[in-house]
Amino acid sequence: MKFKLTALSICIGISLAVPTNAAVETPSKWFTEGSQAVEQASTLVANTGKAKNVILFVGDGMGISTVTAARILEGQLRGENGEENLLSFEKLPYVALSKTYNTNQQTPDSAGTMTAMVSGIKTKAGVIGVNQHVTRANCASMKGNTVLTLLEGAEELGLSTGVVTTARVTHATPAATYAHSPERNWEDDHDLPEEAKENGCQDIASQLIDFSYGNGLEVAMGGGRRSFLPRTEADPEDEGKTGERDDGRNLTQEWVTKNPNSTYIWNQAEFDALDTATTDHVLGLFERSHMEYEHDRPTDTAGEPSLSQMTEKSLEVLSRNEKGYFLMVESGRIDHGHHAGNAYRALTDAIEFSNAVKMAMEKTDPKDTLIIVTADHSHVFTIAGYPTRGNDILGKVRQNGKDGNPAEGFAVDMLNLPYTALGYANGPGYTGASDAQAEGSKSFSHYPDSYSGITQGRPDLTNINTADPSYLQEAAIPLSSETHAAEDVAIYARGPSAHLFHGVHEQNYIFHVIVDAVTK
Amino acid sequence: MIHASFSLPTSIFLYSIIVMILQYLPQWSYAASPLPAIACKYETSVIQLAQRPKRNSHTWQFWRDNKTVEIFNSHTQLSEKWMISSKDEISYLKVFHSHQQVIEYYPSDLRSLHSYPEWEKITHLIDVQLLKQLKHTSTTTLFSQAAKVYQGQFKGVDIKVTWLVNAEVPAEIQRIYPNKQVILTLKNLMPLEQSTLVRPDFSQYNMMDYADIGDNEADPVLKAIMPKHDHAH
Repeated sequence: MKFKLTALSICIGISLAVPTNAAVETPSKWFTEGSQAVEQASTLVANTGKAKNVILFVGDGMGISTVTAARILEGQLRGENGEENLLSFEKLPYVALSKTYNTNQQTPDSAGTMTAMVSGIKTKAGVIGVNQHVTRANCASMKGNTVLTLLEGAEELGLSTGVVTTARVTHATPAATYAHSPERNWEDDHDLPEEAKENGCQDIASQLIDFSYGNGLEVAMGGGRRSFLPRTEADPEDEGKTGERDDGRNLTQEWVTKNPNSTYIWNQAEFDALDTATTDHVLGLFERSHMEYEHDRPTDTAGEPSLSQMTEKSLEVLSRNEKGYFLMVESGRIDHGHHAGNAYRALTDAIEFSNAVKMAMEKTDPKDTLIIVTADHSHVFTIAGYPTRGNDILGKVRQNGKDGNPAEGFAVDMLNLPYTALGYANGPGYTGASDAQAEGSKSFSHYPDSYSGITQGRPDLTNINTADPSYLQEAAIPLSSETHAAEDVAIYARGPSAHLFHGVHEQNYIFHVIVDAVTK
Repeated sequence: MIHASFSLPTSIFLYSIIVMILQYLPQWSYAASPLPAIACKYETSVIQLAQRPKRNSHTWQFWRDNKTVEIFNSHTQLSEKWMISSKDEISYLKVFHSHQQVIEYYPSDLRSLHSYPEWEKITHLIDVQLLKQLKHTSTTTLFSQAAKVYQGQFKGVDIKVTWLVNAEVPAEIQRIYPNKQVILTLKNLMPLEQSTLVRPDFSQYNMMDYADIGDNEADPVLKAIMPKHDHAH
């Protein structure tokens, strides 16, 4: 008996000593799990019912390489290898690919792509809520060429609606849900050229406030306070800064005046105090421009909520409507991290995006809520080399030896220098010498008058911490800002009509699936 | 930047600990340490050393108060403006007057670009630590105040700095390279409130965040201005 107890204790001790995150990988495990996955997939039943609620999640710039790298990073932050991890939305049962090109651009922008997703037609780059017959930045050409958005249609049906983003609420992706403009940059009246004013075009911020469908948006949260305040008004958070409106309108006050049981909030304390049980219309503008990257959010001056926190409170407000709701949630700064050549910020924002989706998955019922997760476009971001299993995704590549086990030291290139797994095809991480900075890793400000190119080879990264949050991954082609990419992005979905995502689709197909789900 | 190889979880852990500790340390603030508010006119001359030395010069203006530094170069039609908050967060504007365009960098934009601007260097126009590496050779009087002269070598370059003690800016900096000399000369110095230097007004220019440049590379104005950016002081 004593032996048995001792043996049992030893077994328990051994089992407890095994990291909870690292189930032992054996051929049997792979085979069994593969078989079980097929069995589970065989039980999938299409939900052909009607969707009461729709949540459209958009990871701006979240291409598939970004998803893979974020998946690995999330796992590694928990102490795991990472590759076996899944982000929340990667567990959704239906997956398809989305072709993102604009009608006039092979590699698209956020404005035309979001218009496709929420208005059902592909259109040009740089325009929102209008079709391809519009000339960009020409107000007169808008006449007769505006298109209805999902949010407008939802309001007409009596649903509640919301827009949540970490970018400015007037930025292209959220703007496409409620506004119509031949130029995405007309975010406030200061941005309108004379031709636009003469022809009656309205800036995007005022379109949010003057929105006339249904009883107006119930929720709008993000950044972009400066487009809602006049120049005569000091920004409450940023010293020495003011609003940007020239027409003297204070749109935050107009929101409160126009909407019953409404409130305007601009910092964490006010967000925390928000009573979602009694507030019918919420305008949250937490930054003068874009909200902070998730990595930088803890140091924000006035404090601001995370994307998942905003998603949660928005759902609490919107779900009070018995008829249902349409919510668009955007992680707007994955895109900005990539443009800056800063993978750390792009990926940590992607992880927070996954947290927001997880929040929604837990708080909604797949029987009546259609959740779609996608991206508007990709970036020229790659994961390369042959790093060994569990290699630090932000680190330098360690390969396997001939025996298939991790080799000593870093893998080196033909210059005998180590390199990172992550990189960009173009952008500010170019390491050639310029007239402003020597060859090697760059730091701000990196806008030279000229490059003399790479003459001494790549920088030696041996003693460089490439996992530093501000490290700029190397880029092959020097550009001041890294670019979008043209390849397809993924669509993940569950709920009513989610099974209609089944192959390779034009991006505007997303709109039509949503319409199908809501109008059964 | 940390120059060592740590695993990712270790890096994140160490970073978090450092941030937590810094929050509880007594905070010395650049924003709370006043410098004389001044306006200056400088001339930068580049003398190419050859059989026939060639000299190119241009003037530029410098304004400084407790929370902002602004520079205007009429030759390039560029302005730069740095602003520091009470929490020592630095933001930056780059102004292209000929295109009436402003690019705004928020503190997080600078961090995302691996940039940590040094407020001391921005406000003094020179790395003050450099003076400690040079030899104080003489003291004179310029612009009605004591001026200390420092000389020596820095990174292989012969340097001579004439430093105004009260104003805390250089009256002159000479850098001697193998094939050229670069000379910075203070032409005019006045208290900010008495300044007669005309500061360009760019309040009505088009504003764009740095974060939005990537989405607007087709913009003709951005295409024209993006290759033409700043230089180190």
